[in-house]
Amino acid sequence: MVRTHFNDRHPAGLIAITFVAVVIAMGLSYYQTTRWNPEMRFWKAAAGAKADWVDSLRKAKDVPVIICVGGSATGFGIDAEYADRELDYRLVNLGLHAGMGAEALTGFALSQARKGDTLLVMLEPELLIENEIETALGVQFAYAIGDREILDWRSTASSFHVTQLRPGASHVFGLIGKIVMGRSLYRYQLKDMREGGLLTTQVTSGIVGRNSSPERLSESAKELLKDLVLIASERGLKVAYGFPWVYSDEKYAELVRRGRARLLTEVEQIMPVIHEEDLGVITEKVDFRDSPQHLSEAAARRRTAVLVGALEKHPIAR
Amino acid sequence: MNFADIRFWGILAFSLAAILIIRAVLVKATRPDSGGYDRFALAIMGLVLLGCVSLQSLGIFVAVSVTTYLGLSLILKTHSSPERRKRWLWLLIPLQLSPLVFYKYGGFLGNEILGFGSYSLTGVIIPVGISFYTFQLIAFAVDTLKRSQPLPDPLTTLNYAGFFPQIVAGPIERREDLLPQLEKFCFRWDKKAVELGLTWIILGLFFKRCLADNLALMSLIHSGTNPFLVWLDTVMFGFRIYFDFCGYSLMALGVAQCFGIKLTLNFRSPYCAENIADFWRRWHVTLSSWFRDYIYIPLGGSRSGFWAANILIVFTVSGIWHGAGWNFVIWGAMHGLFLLVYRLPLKVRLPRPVGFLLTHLSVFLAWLCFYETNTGEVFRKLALLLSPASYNGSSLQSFFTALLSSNGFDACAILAIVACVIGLEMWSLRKEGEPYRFLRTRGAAVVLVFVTVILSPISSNYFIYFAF
Repeated sequence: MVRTHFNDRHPAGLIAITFVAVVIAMGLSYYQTTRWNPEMRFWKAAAGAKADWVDSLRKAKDVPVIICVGGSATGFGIDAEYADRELDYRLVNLGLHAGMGAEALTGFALSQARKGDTLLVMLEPELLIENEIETALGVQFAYAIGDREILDWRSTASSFHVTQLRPGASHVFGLIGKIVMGRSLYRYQLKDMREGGLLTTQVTSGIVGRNSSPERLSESAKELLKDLVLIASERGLKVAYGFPWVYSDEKYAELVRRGRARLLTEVEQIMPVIHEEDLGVITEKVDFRDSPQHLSEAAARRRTAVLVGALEKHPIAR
Repeated sequence: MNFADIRFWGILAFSLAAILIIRAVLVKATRPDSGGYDRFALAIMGLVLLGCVSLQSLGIFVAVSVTTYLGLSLILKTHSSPERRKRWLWLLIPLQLSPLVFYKYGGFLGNEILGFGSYSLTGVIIPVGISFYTFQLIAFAVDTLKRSQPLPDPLTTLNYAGFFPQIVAGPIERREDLLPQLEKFCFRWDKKAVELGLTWIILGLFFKRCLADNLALMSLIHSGTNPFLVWLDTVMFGFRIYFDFCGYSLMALGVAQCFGIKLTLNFRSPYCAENIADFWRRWHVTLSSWFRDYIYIPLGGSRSGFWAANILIVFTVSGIWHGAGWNFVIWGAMHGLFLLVYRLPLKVRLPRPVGFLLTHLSVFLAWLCFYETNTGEVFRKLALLLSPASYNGSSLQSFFTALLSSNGFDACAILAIVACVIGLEMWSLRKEGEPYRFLRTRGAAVVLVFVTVILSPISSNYFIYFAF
């Protein structure tokens, strides 16, 4: 006698109705993640504005530009409009959300680059130790801007994205919580973005400085950087790496610098690097806003000037 | 055999398509009866799916299965007396257990018991499903020799040992339940069976992907200085392991049902249990009954004068079955003690709600030993939870601060869904006598599919019981 411990009743027509439920849920998930999600709407609009800045630079003077690629540390760290106006230097701030992952961020930058441009990779060191360089947020961003090619610029890229176009409980509950508590649906506002794509915020939270830094590139990151060098050379682009600035308490600053120095040595075996004093480790808390990687507006200008100075001395600028 | 991984379904669909095409083109043309081919194909599909998980696991599975089959054949051929046959179990069972002991307990025995200190099996990964199929094959050998049951043909035995939905994490099936079904197995499209199976798969996926994976993601994991937060972690882990393992078991049941095979329901809503004995009748049913039939009863069971020692032995062994570590030993021993206390002939009878509360407080307290693998930390946290002085105003305040964080809000939201599910299980048990009835209706299936697609996290965690 077969032990089953349950007495089945047949739910007729379940296969069809389940299929319909999956299709509807996937459709809603797609709409939510790529159209309605306030975070994605912000980054899509920010990316559009940044792309417009590239176009305006090219229209004003048809010379190659330097495109800074990275997460929000770049978004908050490079004042391209200031560089253009005060330093007569054509920088593009393509810093978006680090959560989009190295693959999508780099792919988006490549989509904006033209022959002769320089790609200045300023990916946060934390992104370079990750093995998963393609993230759900990156996939969602690619679909939101309608440019899936930013995920497919490498031959090894995955083309199966359907399972990543879903919000997940953390996101859904997070939104519900914000609505219930009457909070803003996303912490950053487009009105706080300056011409040239510099992100700013008035939020100053109790930031905690870095007390260590990643020292080794992940295998995936190595592959990505090598592929980028290859593709850049095929397209007639120049490529280099430079650190975004980070806050560290005086006590740990040397430790963080040592970690960054080791990481930079690894990156240098793949592509040229920009050597900056202090390796971008800053000990003044007042220069940062809501995160140890988000510079204040004034600090972003200083950082931009320092970068322009370093670039002018670098062979890549010649 | 990770049902939560889309690759599993891809390989399954591909294997099935290949099997059915070969069957339609070659087998049907030559032989009208394709039963032999179907059973052969099922065995190959099981081996391929296991091989896709790990070739090492496949090799060890084949070795344990072949050893069992050859051992039984030899014993049955050379000895006609049932008494003599039974004696050979003393040789066969250690042989069956040897890979399990080597891979799972080698390091623990070497370091903790024999005190080698630096002895390690670095690089050796515990083969997938080894605890499950080893126990199933031990039961098979004992039943065959002790109950003088005939040895089935090698193909049916291979299908019994390696039936793909249950090889990795159970249920641990008995020969009288599974063998007769496998002997008659054939691939056929049975819409009713598929639809019934689908309800189990949907529920299992919801349990695993929506509840267990989110509980894992939202676990607050705090330093063990705040008793309220340690309780929260422990409760979240207790629900996580239930939905994780029950989810797997339900999916295994559903996949098997789609193929026309009925497996045992391994969970019967254990968090609806009214006492600790009831809990063990509902939690990992097939393992509990295995321990009862193959260890507890042979030791003398409850009729022996040593019934208390028997209970402690069985639960300690059950703890060791789960993992090679003192924390698992403590977990097993704690459950043994809880059961002993429950069985004490006390004159006081607790009101049902109090009994229910005490049962689940004990169960959750014991889960601490499951997720905390450092023995020192286990004792420290247990002392913290059992010390009334640690429950003070400041720890309560920091508990509420943690709950009001975004992670805390998410954790509360997912716990609210968990509470609804447990409530539905209770209601279903009361009304229908079956815990998952209301969660397997057509309407519920649609809601669960919908919720799973939207709320399940992007990345999936491995099933906890894969490690066992």
